Amino acid sequence: MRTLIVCEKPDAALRVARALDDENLPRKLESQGVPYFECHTKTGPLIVCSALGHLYSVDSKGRSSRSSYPIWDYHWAPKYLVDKASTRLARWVRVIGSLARNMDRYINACDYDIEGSVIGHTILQYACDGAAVKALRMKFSTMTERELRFAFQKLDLKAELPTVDAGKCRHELDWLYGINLSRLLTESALKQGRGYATLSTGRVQGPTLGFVVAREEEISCFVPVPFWTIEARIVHDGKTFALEYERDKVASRSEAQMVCNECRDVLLEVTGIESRDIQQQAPYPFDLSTLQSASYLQFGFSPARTLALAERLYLDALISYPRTSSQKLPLDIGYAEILRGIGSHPEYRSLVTKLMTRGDLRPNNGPKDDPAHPAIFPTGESAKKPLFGGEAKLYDLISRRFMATFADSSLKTSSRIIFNYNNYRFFLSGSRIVRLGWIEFYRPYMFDESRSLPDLKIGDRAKAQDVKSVEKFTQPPHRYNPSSLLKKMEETNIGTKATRAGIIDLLYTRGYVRDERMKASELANKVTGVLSAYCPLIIDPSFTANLENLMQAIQNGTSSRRLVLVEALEHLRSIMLSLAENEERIGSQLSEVIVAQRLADVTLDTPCPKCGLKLAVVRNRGTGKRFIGCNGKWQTGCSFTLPLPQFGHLTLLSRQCNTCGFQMIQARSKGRRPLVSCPSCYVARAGDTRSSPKRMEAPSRIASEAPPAT
Amino acid sequence: MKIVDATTSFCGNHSEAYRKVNDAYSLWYAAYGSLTTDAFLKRLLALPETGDRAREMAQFLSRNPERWK
Repeated sequence: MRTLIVCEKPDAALRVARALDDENLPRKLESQGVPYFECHTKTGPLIVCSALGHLYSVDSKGRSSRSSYPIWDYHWAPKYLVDKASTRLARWVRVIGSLARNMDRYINACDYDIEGSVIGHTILQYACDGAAVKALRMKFSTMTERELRFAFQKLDLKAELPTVDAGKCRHELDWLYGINLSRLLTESALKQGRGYATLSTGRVQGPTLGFVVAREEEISCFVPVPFWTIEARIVHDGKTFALEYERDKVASRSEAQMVCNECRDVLLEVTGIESRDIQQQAPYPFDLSTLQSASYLQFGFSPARTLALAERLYLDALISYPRTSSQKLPLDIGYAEILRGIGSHPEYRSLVTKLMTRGDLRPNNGPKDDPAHPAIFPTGESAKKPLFGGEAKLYDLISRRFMATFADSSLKTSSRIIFNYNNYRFFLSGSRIVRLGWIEFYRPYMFDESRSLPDLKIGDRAKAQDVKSVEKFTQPPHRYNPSSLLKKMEETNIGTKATRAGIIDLLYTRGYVRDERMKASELANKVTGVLSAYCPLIIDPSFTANLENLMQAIQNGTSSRRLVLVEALEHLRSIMLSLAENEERIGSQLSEVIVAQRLADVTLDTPCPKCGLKLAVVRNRGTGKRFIGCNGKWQTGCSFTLPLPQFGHLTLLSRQCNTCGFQMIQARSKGRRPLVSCPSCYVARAGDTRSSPKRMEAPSRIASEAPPAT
Repeated sequence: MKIVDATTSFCGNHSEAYRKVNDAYSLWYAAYGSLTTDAFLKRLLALPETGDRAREMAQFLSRNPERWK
């Protein structure tokens, strides 16, 4: 019996082939540059091939220009015909198609989630001549040999049509909403004849941008209000302790002054000592969003970067499947065996020994569940090659979290000494960790907040010193960062765990937001303003959340793809009509902002150090390379230039370099940590290591090397 | 900055800023015991926490004090 196994990525195909081959030595073959593997098993030969993610995607039926809309007719087409950047996928489709001939059995071994099911289903359906209907499903959560073999023995015979239908419906809706609304916005602005800019929105992107813009509005209209805090201190046994006044904020200046006048240099009496034990349960195992939050907090990795790193660790069989919503670790993953595996690393050995001596291993499972996969856990396998950088950091975080989740709760004693004078109360707070518990396992990622208190008892007195009131002002709300925005998307149930990080990246690419603390651009304000004026539904999170629920219903088998599509298209039709009626007005508003933003996006705040005129990012027409040039080139003949990173989306940041004061720049590439640098210091370092980094004059040698301004 | 004709009514966004500035004045007045609108607006303009649109409104109101209601 000849079997074809379709995997999602080449690395996954290699792992599957190695695990299923009787001798762990599959034969690597290649056709048209596309690798695949031949395995020998007792049940017959296996051919393991792989996709490169999606090989098929939604496209309009028939030919349509990029400017035409609305588009209602669509079909699933090979991606190489839809996207110019995917032409190499043609070879993959051809090779998989030819391998599929004369096969007796087909197995979908793509990642076990909606996307994986859709990838496998579309390949088997369209490239393998309708083989999807008879295909079997291989379900696994880790790429370890043991689990892959087990999954191969327990192939699922049930057709996963509801899951595939839900996945396909999501793709179709995203495509229909995205292409129609984005084309309408882009074309309406283009028709004003003031230049082209890609504008986009969609059923998830719209509300997500709406959150950022709403926060920006709040900050923009923020009016600070004064309040006062009372500061005081006591000295005991030569040590100084800061006191807190009983009220965090005093609303009026006169009251704050009165407290200070009454309590200045008085003897405060200890009237009470309160103490309570706080037990903190071990943390839950990681699901994807908590991993992304922790990774952002600890390392500053964006959600997209965390996902990319986690996927690499998964493909190396070091951790389980990361795209999971579960916070539960089932018993059958084999806790002890995993811990023994982790214990082979010297830095975890003593911690693992401590856990293993307890006997009863029980994780502190969280409330969230995912029927497809457990929470993220390390597999316990050793890395074939040493881990570096982001991968090493993320692996450490996941491993320590896994161990911590089995540990005891921690115990902290929180104490408070209450001082009194004439009914004015001051507090002195402290805390002490009594039992480390899980903190010991998760230590580098936990802050030790212990604060000791002076040895005082009730009736003791201490002199209040430096009593003063400090005028402060209320602060505007924080801007979102990629991690908090992701959390907001999750709370409001828009997007999926697989797509949210990508949507956030897209906001940067489109020029809707800038900086780590996401600041909405004028363009974002205008696009959101236009949408909220003419079709508020598209930026309403509850509308998108409702569509998500409908798609969940397809997966649960309580609704059908057809019904959901009909309902969603009905909404889209009314949105499009409303926008089309006001196309000219929308276009004129958008084009005005596009022109202003285009200019602002390339003009630096720092003036030319040579002639004082404005500096701008320019592109050499001959080589296409970008660099910083002086606007005075044509007026004063100034030849000042600075090189720039050539890859990634470039943003001029609002902060200055600490060393030389030049405006910082950020180059952002998909799935990578943004590169933030100072163009001036970079030149100073790269050009002449002997010279001072504070050099701001145009270095003539570098200026002559840089491409001429056009 | 674009200065709006003092006789026209505010747009939606600036109406919100006006409301916030107006509401804040009563809180500031209570906090300091006494405070002229002029001193309030001057301090508002000097504070880094003041939002851009609120700042525009404060600037506008300090030039057009008759717009205080």
